[in-house]
Amino acid sequence: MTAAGLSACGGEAPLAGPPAIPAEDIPDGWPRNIEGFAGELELRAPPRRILPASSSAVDFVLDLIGEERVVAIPEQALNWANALDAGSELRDGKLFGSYSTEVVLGFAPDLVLTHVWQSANASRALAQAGVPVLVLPELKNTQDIRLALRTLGQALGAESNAEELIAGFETRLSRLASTDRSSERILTYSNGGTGGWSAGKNTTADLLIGLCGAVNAASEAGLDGHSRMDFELLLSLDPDWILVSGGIDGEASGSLSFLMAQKVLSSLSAVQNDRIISVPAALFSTTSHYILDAAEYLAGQLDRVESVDQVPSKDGAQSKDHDDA
Amino acid sequence: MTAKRAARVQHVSTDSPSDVANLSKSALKRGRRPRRVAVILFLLLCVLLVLSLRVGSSGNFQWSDVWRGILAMCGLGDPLPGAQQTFIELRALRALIAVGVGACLALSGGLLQGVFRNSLASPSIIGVSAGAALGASTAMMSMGGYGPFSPLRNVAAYAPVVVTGCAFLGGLIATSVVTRLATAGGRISVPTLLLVGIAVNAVAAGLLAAIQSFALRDYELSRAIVAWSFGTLEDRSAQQVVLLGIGLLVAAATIPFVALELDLFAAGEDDAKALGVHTGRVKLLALCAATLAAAVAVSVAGQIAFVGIVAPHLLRLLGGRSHRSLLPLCLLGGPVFLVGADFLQRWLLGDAFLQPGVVMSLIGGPFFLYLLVRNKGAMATW
Repeated sequence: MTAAGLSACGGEAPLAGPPAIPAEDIPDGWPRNIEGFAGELELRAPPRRILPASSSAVDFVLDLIGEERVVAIPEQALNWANALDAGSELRDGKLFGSYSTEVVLGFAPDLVLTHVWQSANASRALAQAGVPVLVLPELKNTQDIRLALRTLGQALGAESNAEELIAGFETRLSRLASTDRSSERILTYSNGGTGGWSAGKNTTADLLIGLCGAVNAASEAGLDGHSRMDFELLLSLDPDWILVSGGIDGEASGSLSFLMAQKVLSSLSAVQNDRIISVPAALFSTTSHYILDAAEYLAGQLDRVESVDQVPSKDGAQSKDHDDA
Repeated sequence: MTAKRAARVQHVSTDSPSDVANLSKSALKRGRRPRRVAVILFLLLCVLLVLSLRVGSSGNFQWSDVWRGILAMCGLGDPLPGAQQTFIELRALRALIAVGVGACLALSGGLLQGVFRNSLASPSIIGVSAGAALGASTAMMSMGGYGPFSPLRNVAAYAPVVVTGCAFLGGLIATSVVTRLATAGGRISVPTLLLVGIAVNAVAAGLLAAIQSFALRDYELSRAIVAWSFGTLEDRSAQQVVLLGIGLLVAAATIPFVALELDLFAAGEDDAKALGVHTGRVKLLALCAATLAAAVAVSVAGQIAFVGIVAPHLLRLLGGRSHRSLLPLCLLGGPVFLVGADFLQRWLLGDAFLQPGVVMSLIGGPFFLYLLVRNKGAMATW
């Protein structure tokens, strides 16, 4: 059932709901039941007023059906969604600040897509008001991504698009796997001035590193979830690469500047060899299928350095590492 | 002869010779007890410091390596191989920060409890903690790319120093507002100070909550803000040690000028005034010292609860109630609490990395409760 990866909130006593659809307007194959983690979700007709309440939901919806049927997106999606084009109409006005029942009901959606980290109370209240709510899970492996795409495709009436995306996903996965990067030890690091953090097992960053075939040094050291990473531990793990998040709006990475400014960390291999990769913030933090884009970005950076390493210099010696990330 | 000394002489001279003898004995005993406590605390602190150098996130050192590392730090031997000497130095820096923060918070608590004549007073009461938290969070948000202070975006490389600086400013501003509003006709009213402190704390807490609420959209930023609110001793810099040292020295320098006067405060402000105490000056001096000590501590290590309120309590039980002994003991007792709690969490919990504020509450809370229950009778007269 975990594999289902999606949970649904079923309504009990609707207070208000989306407008009823005349029977003759309901296409074949509908109503349909969507299999979810917490039970089935019944959708009477293809949703026409969809409200993705998280940045990852925005990514999924826009890639599956475009923005025509989307009634609003959360403000944070402007910075954190990857599928949102710069010229998208959704950027102008169709925004909401917080995921709360009243705000969401104001858009009269007939399907709300939320994330497991978002308010369960709001989801429950929306379901009670007769609005179907589909809760996206945390992605922990590739199977979760496939299943999320397939289930969302079913819920949005876009099965063929979902299968197309999955097929593309498989091709890209194979391409990523064709290069052996298992000797590369990567560690994610962030520090906002109040102590360092790294992502260990059971995190999307772990999945990201795993997707490009490298080893997560934090997981290797037995760290689980997002763990504190003080200088001492960072120095003792001494990863080959350090992965940091870029700033929002393409700003420079704060963690990167921080790492480079610390004298005590100058002995780290990654610092000495200039092997710190700054991944764009939206990709680094994604919890959607765009994690594959992040993995490809990462793999691209690793492979570029590897290829530079293998180019013999004029005197026959290998050139030193260099990464302009 | 000053009025204060005359009051004491007059008090003694009215007693019978046997009473005087008994009084002298007990006074002598009382005088020795804080010294004994100080020696014990000092030795305990030395042991804890050495133990702290042994235990860390990368693993435990052999004793021989600890000594070699200490000698190398003092320039008396070869450094440990590889990164090991760096590990020892990082642990030493952490221990020094814990010593400074513990001393500052305990001293601040001791001074404020004297001024307020209330054992429940702590540095947070004058708004210093809330102000510092607000300053630090604003800095973090600006460095994260949000908010109006865009120049701060470019100083992320020096994030800890920037956060410390802004927290320090925030703490000082909040306390200045509290003190200013509680002053009328050049006189600081303690009850008004308390009420204004509560109000300023509430405003700062509201603004902090607004920042935290806004930061929820950015996982890393909200994590940094929340982490700071639990306190942190890790990865602090030498500059922060220096700031802490200066703040502590200045605050501790006021002890000789306020300790006896705060003892006289215990009977009430009017009585103290009648005994020749310049109450306004003493309150201002004690408040400034307490603010400075708390502000540097909170700005360097975040919000570490419990030390400021409980350390003076426990030290009062151990070394007597006189501020002449209590305040100097705070300089040793606070560090023992914080270094001890930090060592225990690293020793017992290893990679769990519980923040010092959490550990202090988890270890110190039950211990404090135990002491309160055990000394219920004695404290009924406080």
